[in-house]
Amino acid sequence: MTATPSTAPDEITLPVVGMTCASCVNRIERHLNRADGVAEASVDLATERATVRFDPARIDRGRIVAAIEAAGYEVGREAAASSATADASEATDEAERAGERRELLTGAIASLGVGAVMMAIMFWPGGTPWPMIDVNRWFLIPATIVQFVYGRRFLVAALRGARHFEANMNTLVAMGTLAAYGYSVFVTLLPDVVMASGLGHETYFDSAAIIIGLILFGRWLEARAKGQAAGAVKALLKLRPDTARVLREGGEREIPVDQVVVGDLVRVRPGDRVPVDGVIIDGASAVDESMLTGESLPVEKRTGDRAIGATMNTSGSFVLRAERIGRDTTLAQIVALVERAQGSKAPIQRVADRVTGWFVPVVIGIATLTFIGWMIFGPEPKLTYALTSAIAVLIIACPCAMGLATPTAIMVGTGKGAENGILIRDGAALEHAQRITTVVLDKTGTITRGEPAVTAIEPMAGVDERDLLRIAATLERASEHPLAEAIVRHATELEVPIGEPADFASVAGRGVSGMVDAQAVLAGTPSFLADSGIELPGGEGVDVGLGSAVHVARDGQYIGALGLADPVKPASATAIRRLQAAGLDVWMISGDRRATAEAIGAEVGITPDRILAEVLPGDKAARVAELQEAGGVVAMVGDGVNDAPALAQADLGIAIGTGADVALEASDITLVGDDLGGVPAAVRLSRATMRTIRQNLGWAFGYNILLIPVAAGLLFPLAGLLLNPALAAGAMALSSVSVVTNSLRLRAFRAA
Amino acid sequence: MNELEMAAAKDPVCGMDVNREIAAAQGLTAEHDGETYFFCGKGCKLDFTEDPARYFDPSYEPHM
Repeated sequence: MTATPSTAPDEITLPVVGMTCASCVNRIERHLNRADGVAEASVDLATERATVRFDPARIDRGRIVAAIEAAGYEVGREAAASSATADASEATDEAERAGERRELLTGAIASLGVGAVMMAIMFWPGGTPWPMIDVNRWFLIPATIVQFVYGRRFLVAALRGARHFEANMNTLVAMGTLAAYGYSVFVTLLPDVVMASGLGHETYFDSAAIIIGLILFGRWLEARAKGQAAGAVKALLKLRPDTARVLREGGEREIPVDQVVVGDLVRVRPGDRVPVDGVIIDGASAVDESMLTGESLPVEKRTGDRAIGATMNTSGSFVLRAERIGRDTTLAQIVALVERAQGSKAPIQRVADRVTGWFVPVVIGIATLTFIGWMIFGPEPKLTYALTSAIAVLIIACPCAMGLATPTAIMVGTGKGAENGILIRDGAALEHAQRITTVVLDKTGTITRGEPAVTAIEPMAGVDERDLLRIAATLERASEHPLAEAIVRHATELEVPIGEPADFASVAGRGVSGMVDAQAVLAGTPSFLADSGIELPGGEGVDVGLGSAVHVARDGQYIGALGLADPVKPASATAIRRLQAAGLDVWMISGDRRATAEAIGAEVGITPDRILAEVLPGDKAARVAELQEAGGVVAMVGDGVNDAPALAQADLGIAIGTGADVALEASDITLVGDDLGGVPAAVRLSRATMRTIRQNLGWAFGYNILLIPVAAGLLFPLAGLLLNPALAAGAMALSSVSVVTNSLRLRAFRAA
Repeated sequence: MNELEMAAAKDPVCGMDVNREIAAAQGLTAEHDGETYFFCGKGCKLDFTEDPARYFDPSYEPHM
């Protein structure tokens, strides 16, 4: 410890807006450190924060802010600093929402408190010990504060609507509370007139306060629930690492991820998150992509493969060349897509909007009729009954539950989809997904992997299986044919040692030859081998099943064959069974020969009558259209590139395994993962979301239809039942909350 | 030369590649001896305009 300062140093952290590079950081640090009383300042570009240790006796927060501003930057709002959010405006939005929530809660508590005290005084056990005229005067000021300070938002919104001849839910709240308040002010200020007209001194200040309090409370609950629904996007943004280890000019440096430029070489160590999208140029590892694709097993990556930013490297280490940074990364695109979808309207929402549009004027009409009805037919005191009933009608009819029914469910549904690697373009896509009756699956790349793999190894008697693979792989490693690559990859996966061939020669479309272990080896078609004088068993070599065969001869002897085919992805059969179990008609479309397509169909459970084989790529859209003409609501699942026209033709286009290109326009739903597992999950999610929306709308409408007559007093002649305005406000708030809660139940959705 | 490279200028202060159009649109440029310089952000621009000579010194090394 050095000399004890006059006061203990204080530390504050301020969000700084507008920094772009390390120079900005240096500049702000310089300005801060120059300021008198600052002990130490450190500025972090990635989190956009400045942390300052200072002597509170010599400098205060205001002068620190001034120093930052003198450097040319702005200080954001206190709560805005967040490393998780993508940009400053996002953080500021969140701070505003938090401020809004605080304001709502404060208003609700204050209004309810005022209302409760008023009620307690008015309903004093054994009658109010004070004259009502005095009590009313005490209430006047607190009631006015509640009405015009805490209730200001309703009045302002109602006025704004009135200027455009529009009535909305705020109109209802404003009219109801103003009627209660206005009448009470009249009774309070002109007690003589009231006396003369034979009215009582009862006021409704308490009702107005409690209505405003409860509705503010309802809005607070809503805002809180909406914040929770938006959590999916926030969770995604948190995946972004803050820094990257970049290899520049021979050195390796850790820099903020924002500073990585396209073309940078980035080292990813074991346990690191991949900072940006790129191609692996050195090294290999398994990468956990579950956060983006929902795929639970880590994916093997080697040189030439793409790694996606925000995914988690497991045990290996690699270097990638940055290809997409900032807003172009897969993660940023996913976030943008989800945000857009969450804000979008489903077609069903338009119905709700239209109803809400005429609903409010109708309610005002009913309230007016209620008032007139009570004044004419009601018992004494007529004005009291007429006023309370009309206010109750206005309050109970607030269509906020209707306004919330669809957006909250869409928000939770699309967010939940994103968590499971199902990116839904908008509310319309989500709504369409539950209406589909038919699913058409593209074969190559969708049901199957889309590239050949070794599916069979058939050595002749006395030849070892691994030896056959080793010889073939050693020879084929010099070739660039896709089948050759598949053989080499298979050998690598099985850790079969691959040697170096000599005298390699290749005959296009037929086969390759060369020396392996100082022996002449041939690999290729039966005729290629036969032309070199090799005798093939049965004339055609051994049978390897469907797909292509590569026959191998060594030292003039036939030693066996490798079978290669485009293998079915592991998840395909299960996914297809789930779709069929969900009552969907599942078809397969393929450009392959019918025999090949049917063999794949048999493997995944699609019968030959549901297989469209030998379809040219350009004709796929037409075949989808035929299924639509036959009455099907068709979803087409394809890779989104070759199948784009078919995806666009279908009622619902689902793009699969597009990896980095998540924002494809042709598709309504994009599956980030590369297998079919997301398709049944998407259908189930859509069904669950739409079910929630229908429940919400039913609840909201039903509630209004049921309770408006009660509030108007229709049950009064029969059962003496009348809704007190404060009770109506409570019921109203509860209905909004129940709708939001129902939507939040969707968060329990599980994709698998 | 692709589109990106054509649009790129070097920020004399931090050495980053800056897109000329974007920088110009945001007012992140400065004139010095008849030459226009582009900056990645306010910090670099202000550093530059306060003491341009410093960044033309051959011994100056851009720091990121």
